[in-house]
Amino acid sequence: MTTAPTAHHRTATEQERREGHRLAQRPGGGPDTPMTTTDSSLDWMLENLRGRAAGIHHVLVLSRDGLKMCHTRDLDVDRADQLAAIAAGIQSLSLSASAEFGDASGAGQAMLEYGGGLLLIVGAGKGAHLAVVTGTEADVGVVARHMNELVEQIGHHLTAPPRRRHHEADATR
Amino acid sequence: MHSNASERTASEPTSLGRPAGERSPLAPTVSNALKIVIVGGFGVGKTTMVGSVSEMRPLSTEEVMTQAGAEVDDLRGVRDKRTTTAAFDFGRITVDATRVLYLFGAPGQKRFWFLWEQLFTGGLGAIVLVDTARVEDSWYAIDRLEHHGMPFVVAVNRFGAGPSLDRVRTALDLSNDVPLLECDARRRESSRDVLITLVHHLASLDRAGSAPKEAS
Repeated sequence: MTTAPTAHHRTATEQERREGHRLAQRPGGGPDTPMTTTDSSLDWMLENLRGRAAGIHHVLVLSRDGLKMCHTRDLDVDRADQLAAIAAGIQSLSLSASAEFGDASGAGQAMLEYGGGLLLIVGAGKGAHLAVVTGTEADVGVVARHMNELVEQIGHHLTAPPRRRHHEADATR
Repeated sequence: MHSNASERTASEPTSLGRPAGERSPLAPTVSNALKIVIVGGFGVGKTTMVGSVSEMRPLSTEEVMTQAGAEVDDLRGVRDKRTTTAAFDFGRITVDATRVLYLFGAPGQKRFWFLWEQLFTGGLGAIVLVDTARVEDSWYAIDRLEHHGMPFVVAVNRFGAGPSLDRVRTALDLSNDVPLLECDARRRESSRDVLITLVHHLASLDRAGSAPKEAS
């Protein structure tokens, strides 16, 4: 399409500005999204991790480009989207740091400490990360160990493969 | 192994004719750090622009787009895009002995818009990149800059034949005092011209007595 649209359609509302991080509701994975992370056993594994160490509030698996893949029940959809984008940004910056100052082997583990708790992120399967939000009472070492154990067990299920381009042919405009 | 850093090799020339391997250390005389933000929709060329004008190896936070985004990130009209910015791009241009521009490229997708607030802080001005095949993707950026009171110029990243600048101005509902120009974000000279246009625009606003206020 090379024609310019008609005028006067810039209509971002104040609310959209405030909630710019929130994703519009989107349908579940269609035939183009062979994600391996939607089955209930994985949800159960995440809930199980949450119960295994004190102070874990939320557990989320996200793709490296910032989209939630699965998460624990108490994390509502909006905050899951937000956490996925934040964690992907942090891991992406970690990767840049590793390329600049380390051996470029990529993002390892990230830990953020802030008033009221912690955010821990580790690499999961290919193209995915596992993020955990805790309260102040959590023991970082214990939580991190459980996270790494979970990735060892089920990391191969937690993958977000690169997009293929041949679907583009189906796109209509 | 995947590297998140620039894909340039050391022998490839970067800005100012220096090879990327030779860093240009910041002169101790620099006293003015000017922050410029590059915004616009998904896949319009923000990362490309920062990469083409930066004198140092740009920081880029490109992530491979995964199948998790198949329902979210609309790839129609974004050509051969395979990666996307997950945090921000960062580059630098030394103007003269005392002034240096710091370029921050914003991430394009809606899910990363919350980062824009921090990127705008302390910014002097902004470049809005536009792809005329997806003009509507730029509306949010322009609205937000107007909301922040941050001066900006609009650059149409030409991917081929497209509508005239007059039609783009109408489609974007831009007032006549906002500079609008064409560019090729892949070319350093072209990206540099956009920056020059922005700096002239900022200077003219300053002369007109409406000094650009820092976004807060």
